[in-house]
Amino acid sequence: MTAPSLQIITWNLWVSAPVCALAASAMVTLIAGAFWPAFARWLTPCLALGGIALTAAFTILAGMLGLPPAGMQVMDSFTVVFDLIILIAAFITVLVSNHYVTRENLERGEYYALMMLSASGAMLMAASDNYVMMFLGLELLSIPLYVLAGFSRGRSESQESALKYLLLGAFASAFFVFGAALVFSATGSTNIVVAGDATERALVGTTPIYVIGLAMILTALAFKVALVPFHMWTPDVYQGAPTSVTAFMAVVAKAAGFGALARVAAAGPEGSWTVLLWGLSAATMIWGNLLAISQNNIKRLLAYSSIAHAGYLLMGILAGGRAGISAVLFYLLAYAAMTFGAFAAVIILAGRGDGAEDIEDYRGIARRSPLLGWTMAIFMFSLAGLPPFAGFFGKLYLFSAAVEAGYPGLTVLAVLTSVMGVFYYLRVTVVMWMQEPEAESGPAAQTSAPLLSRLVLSALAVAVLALGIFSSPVLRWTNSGSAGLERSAEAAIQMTLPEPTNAPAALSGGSR
Amino acid sequence: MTWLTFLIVSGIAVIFAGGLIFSRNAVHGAMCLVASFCAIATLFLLLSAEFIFVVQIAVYAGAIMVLFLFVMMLLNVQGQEGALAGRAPGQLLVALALGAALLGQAVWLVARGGEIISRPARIPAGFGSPEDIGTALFTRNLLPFEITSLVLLAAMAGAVVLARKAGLSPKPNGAPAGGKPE
Repeated sequence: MTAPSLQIITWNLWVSAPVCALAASAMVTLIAGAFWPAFARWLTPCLALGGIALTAAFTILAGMLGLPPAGMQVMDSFTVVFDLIILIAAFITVLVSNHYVTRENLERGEYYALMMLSASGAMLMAASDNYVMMFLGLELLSIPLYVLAGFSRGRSESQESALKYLLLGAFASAFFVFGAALVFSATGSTNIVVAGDATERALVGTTPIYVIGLAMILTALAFKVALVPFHMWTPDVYQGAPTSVTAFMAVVAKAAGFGALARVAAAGPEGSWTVLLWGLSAATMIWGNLLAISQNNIKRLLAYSSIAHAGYLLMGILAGGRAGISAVLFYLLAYAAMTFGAFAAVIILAGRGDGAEDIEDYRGIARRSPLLGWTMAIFMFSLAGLPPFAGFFGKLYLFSAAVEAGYPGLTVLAVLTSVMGVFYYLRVTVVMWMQEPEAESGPAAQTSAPLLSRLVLSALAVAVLALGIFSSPVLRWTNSGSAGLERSAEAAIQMTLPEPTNAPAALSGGSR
Repeated sequence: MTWLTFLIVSGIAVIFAGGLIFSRNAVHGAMCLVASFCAIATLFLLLSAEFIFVVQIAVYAGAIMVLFLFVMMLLNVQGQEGALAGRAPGQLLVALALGAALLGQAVWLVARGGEIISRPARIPAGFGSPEDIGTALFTRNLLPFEITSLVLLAAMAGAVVLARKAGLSPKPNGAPAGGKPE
């Protein structure tokens, strides 16, 4: 009895080494912030950066070991690629946050610690091959985000944002739990692949329950990545939350949701699943882009733009296979670079107290600060999907994967909605470059920023350009990730997992 | 016999859950929640999971409900009955329609697929015993069990952040003016 359980424990330790490393760094950051408040200003971000770098090293190391799935978590090349994307995003968040947090007096040790805990939840979600684990990842991702959204306690919009996100997020989590329970009761397993497989083998009569459960899980994940019609919270929450948190939310929470969706999709739910994804994707692209056109607040505009991008990303999940998932990973990386860039510029422009957040406030900014003008233009062009930037190649890979998988209609729709997107992204650039600044209209946008912010802004602009120009090596890397996802789905089917022995197994044949 | 008990007890649970949602008085709602929790605990008893039955009563119906009531007392929610009742016109109708649609789909799917309801689940001997739960929790589900502690840590740190008064922190740079609302 003792020996096998010990073995399970040693297994898990390596498979979950990255998550453990990040969580431990978060705790160190938390403690350091509490005990040396005098140094918190520079100590906590430095600890956060160090912890994230350490975690990246652990991820690469664990990935090289070639570990078998541990029954709850998988450390395949998909996990490695995905974790690194999350870690890069978290790293940039720390750098981008620094200026904002100092300016808005949000400096507390907990800020970075909560952000790291949230990132470890995102890593868990993508690494889990079990609904139990995925749910815990979802909660670990969300709970710090609820708090971070309300972090700027003096602003009532921030409070509103946190409360809305908490209430709706808890509702969505409930959907996930209920769905997972239904899947378990239908298949006798909480393992994603085994549950999916047991249904395919047509265990008489339980498929409907499984389908209902899966639809509920899809609902919860669709909420997290803001797909239409589960997107209502996005503009309000994005607008109210502190801008650096919004950037983190827009990238990491979205990426985590898509990582989880990729895991669920790799288990091969057929039939109505594809119809659902098709509809969600189409609705999200159309609605997100349509509403973005009429926005005047830059944060709301970026919120609707992030909704539209979720629609494009869902196409990759729908296409599935090696090309589809690889395109999703590439697009997530490109999306992270350009979204962080746009938010970093917004943080600088808004000025103290987030005064200037309307696009009209940006009139003629490019004359006063060519750096902001140029970088913002690059991010907007890339978000619009114009060559030679990262956004173009990301869309190219996604669209071609969708065409190959046999969804030409959806691809045509995606191209058309991208053209709609060009309008509102270019509008920002036009206002910045071509319009005269009005003397006394509203709060003026700021252009001064510390050296670090300017460096980060320039580095992100270079990254957006480089990801576009050197897209093929990056794509090879993401390809290895999607291949890993396929392999571990196959391995899980082959492997006889020591699955539930004490489940209320209506289907004793189910757990082979 | 078990079937009948199940129907009665789950009916009670659903009715009181409804009472929780529709009662305007927060304390009444909390009491409905207690009743609903107790009914669900009885469902665990039907599965011969005595341990979970006791835990459900002690933790949910006991400890957590006491916390709820404390919070209500401290915030004096009683005084503002109906403060949360303001809703958009037609909201109830839309919610009912969507809920009915969800229920209808589920029933339709099950009816089309057949059988599941009529097939009784086989419960293995020793199911739900403390030993069984301990084994499941500390071998197969050890990792999720540990991750739960991370979730709790995040929630605790978050609660401290939100509960701390702005300006009272010992930070030298935490200027109280920055955190004050207008």
